[in-house]
Amino acid sequence: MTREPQAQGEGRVLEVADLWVEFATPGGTVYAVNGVGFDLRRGETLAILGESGCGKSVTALAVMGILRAPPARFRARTMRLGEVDLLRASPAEMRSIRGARIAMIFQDPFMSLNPTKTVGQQIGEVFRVHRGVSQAEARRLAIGLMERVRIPSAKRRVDDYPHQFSGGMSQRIMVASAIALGPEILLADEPTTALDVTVQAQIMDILAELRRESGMAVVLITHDLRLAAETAERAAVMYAGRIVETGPMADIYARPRHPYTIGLLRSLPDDEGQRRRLHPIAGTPPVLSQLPAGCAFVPRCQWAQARCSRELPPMRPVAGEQACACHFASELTLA
Amino acid sequence: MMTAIDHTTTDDGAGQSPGLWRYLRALARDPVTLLAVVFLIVLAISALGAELVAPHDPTRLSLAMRNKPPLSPGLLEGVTHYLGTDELGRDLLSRLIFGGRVSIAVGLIGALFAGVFGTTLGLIAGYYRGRTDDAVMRAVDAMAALPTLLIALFFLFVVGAGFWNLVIVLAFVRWRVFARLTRGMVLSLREQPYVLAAKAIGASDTRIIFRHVLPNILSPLMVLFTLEVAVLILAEAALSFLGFGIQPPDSSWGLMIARGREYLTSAWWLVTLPGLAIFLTTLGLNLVAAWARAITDPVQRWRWLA
Amino acid sequence: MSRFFIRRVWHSFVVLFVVLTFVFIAGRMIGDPAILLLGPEASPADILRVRGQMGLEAPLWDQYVRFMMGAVQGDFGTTFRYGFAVPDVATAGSTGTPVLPLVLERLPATYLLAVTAMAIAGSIALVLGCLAAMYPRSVLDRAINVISLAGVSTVDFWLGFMLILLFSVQLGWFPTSGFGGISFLVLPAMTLAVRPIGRVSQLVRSAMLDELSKPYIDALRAKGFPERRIVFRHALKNASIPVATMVGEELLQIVQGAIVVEVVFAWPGVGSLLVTALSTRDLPLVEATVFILALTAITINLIVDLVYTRLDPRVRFG
Repeated sequence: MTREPQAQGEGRVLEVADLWVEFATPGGTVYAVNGVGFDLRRGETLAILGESGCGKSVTALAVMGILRAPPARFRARTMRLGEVDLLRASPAEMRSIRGARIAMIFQDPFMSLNPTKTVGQQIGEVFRVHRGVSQAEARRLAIGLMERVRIPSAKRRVDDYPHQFSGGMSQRIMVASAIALGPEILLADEPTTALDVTVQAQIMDILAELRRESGMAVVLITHDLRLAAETAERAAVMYAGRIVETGPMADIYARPRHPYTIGLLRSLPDDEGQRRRLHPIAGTPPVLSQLPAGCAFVPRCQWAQARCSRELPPMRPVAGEQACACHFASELTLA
Repeated sequence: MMTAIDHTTTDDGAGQSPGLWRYLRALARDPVTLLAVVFLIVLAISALGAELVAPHDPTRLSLAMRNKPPLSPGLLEGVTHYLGTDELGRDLLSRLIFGGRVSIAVGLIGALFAGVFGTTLGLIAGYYRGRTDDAVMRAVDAMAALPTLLIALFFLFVVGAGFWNLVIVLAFVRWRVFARLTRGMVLSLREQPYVLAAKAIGASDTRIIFRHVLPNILSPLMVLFTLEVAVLILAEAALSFLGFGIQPPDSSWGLMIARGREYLTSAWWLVTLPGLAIFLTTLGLNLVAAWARAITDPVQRWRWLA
Repeated sequence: MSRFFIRRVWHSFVVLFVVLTFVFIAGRMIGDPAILLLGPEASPADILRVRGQMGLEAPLWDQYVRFMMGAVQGDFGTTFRYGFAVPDVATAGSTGTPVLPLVLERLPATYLLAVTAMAIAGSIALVLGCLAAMYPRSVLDRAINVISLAGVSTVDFWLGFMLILLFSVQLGWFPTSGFGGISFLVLPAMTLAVRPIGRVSQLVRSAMLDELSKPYIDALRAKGFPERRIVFRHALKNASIPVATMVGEELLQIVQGAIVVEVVFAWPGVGSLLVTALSTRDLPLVEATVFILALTAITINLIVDLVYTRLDPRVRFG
């Protein structure tokens, strides 16, 4: 499953700049993603962090080109997969890229499988559609993949239906069909949120192993700061459809600069698992159809000043590779 | 991905209960349904005030005026038979108005009987469960296994034709539809927190049923009632056409088609127009029911009322 | 599966038993079958003789048992009137034609009509429903919605007359009525198909919309599958599961629609036979026809339920 290096310029496999997504609903336009941009380097894991509804999943769907339009509308300045300009790719080109060069797994593995087809059929179908292999060959390849994601007695279980598998096993099946064609990028949208803690660890191990073997880059979309810290090299923190902080994962974890990131870190139980008072972030995320002119975090921010509601803070480098979209980023530290 | 949208759905529309005004506004923006409503209102007025609305006595014969096509001048100066005359020279428009009264009455009264009976049984079955539930649902399933028209025909064969027999037989074959819907809704409602809470504070069963359960299932029941009126008008037409429904000298749209059948090739309007009347009436009812269902469904409502 | 099967078959038998009991009770309620057979002007002596021949002097319970035993063996007695102008008082009740074969020889015509109509309705409704679901809330969707509501609202026997007027009388393309080659089948089958098209297309649309909104559809799109494959290879099969539960109901609707449509087109099926039997008050023929139609309906329901379990692996293993 090794792949020739084909990404150019600093080994970036995915470049997204100034991505906007909105949903037209009768209740008004919902601004789900507002000028998001990020780079993904070859083989690295980038965590996109944020609460549910902050636009992180929508970003992934937009990159995949599978937003449901209508009601969704999207535009971007740049969206490149290696040498391919995703903004100019035809629907047929996009289809040949999806599942082959860039794959995705979803939050609820059980709901992400077709209940009336065997898992073997569903994994094998990727080969049938993209490679046009025979049914028997697809089945054989499916068994191989199931073994690769360590599904016990794969040969016997290949003809079982999704409902005969547990959540963790279902997610392995999703992973198997996602890595089938050795993609350069895997978008993992809350891949373990619906699973038990122990199963979570197994899935993350499998993903880590596949990454090591194939050099595939992973975008880990999660609300779980700790999971991100364990897995990712770099992170982008999203709030209300914007990236508010970005940089090396270790730096962000050690010295978060944005009040929202600080809040996220404070709401974690501490490393040793000892009892400490948790500080959940007060308040709720803004309604995405009525975004304020200034910083969207103002109502929940303990350091907010008058300027914050007037002026949208731009993304500014703070230290090293770390950048933050807060007027007072350089003055804040984790208390 | 959908969370962003969900915010707005709960914020606009679904959370509030829209008043009559919002319904009317939604109706005004839906021309097809509006047309259907206007048609049904005109129909109701003409059925209620048939004596005032009909241009002629629907029973007055005229041998000289047999099977005249629409827009034929009458025998008297200035009289026009707008929709022609039938095989006995009677004014077709007037007969349609009076026949419509019977067809609509069968539909409305039949659906009302079926609704009251079926809803009551459904409430009891769903609320008390147990043996009553089993018995009611067995009956519902057994009747659902047989074609409605077959049962109706057979019972009319036994008890004889006529308006009230027809109404009762139709109510008898259709109560199951109301019973099934009501029971299903009651089953899910009785586990709702507010029903459990009412039980916990010792509210009587009657109070719970009438104050908490019935109001919450009323709008689906009204939609079903509208649909069933259409179903029964169609059933009346079929049964009267076959000779087991309305009997002469009474008339209904279905019977008019049966009588006009002989003249299909020579006087097309005798069959065409009563059938068109049935079609437009049932279409109107179905359109209104589809609209009402969409608008009262919390999942869909915001699309229409936003 | 097999326990489900046995229970399901048992239920069907119970319904059939209840139907037969109702038919028996109703048959005795409408008055003395002997008078029904001979007419109100018959002499008391004749009536008494026929009552004896028909076994009507026996206690009601005894008659019921004999009726049920007869029904099980397919013996519903002999026709009162069918096939001859005036009942023959001398032989009536003992030598007429047995009614069941009369019904059975009409059955293929009704099945042919019903299956053709279902095939027409099913294929058209599938296309309409899928199109509407693929472009929800578009002009196409709205148009299909009105078409399907119009279909549901159609007075089928009236539509039959309208088709006769247009295609037989005006254009002369098809015969007005009767039985023969395909040309005879076209108009009645079309007539019968219109209402199911309306209902089934709405069913298909809502089932498809449900299915297409599920997360696994996103997952399939993420694998780069063509939209056609996703709709027809994946969603359609799953959407057909809720639709399949309604197929039984639809077939029942078609069977009952056939009763009226057969009369319009003089189609020699069970439906028109039933109407003849009812109109001439030919009790044994009515009983046999009702029995056969009820049996057909119950069998349809049974088959649909069993097919349903094959479609959905969750039910099959559950």
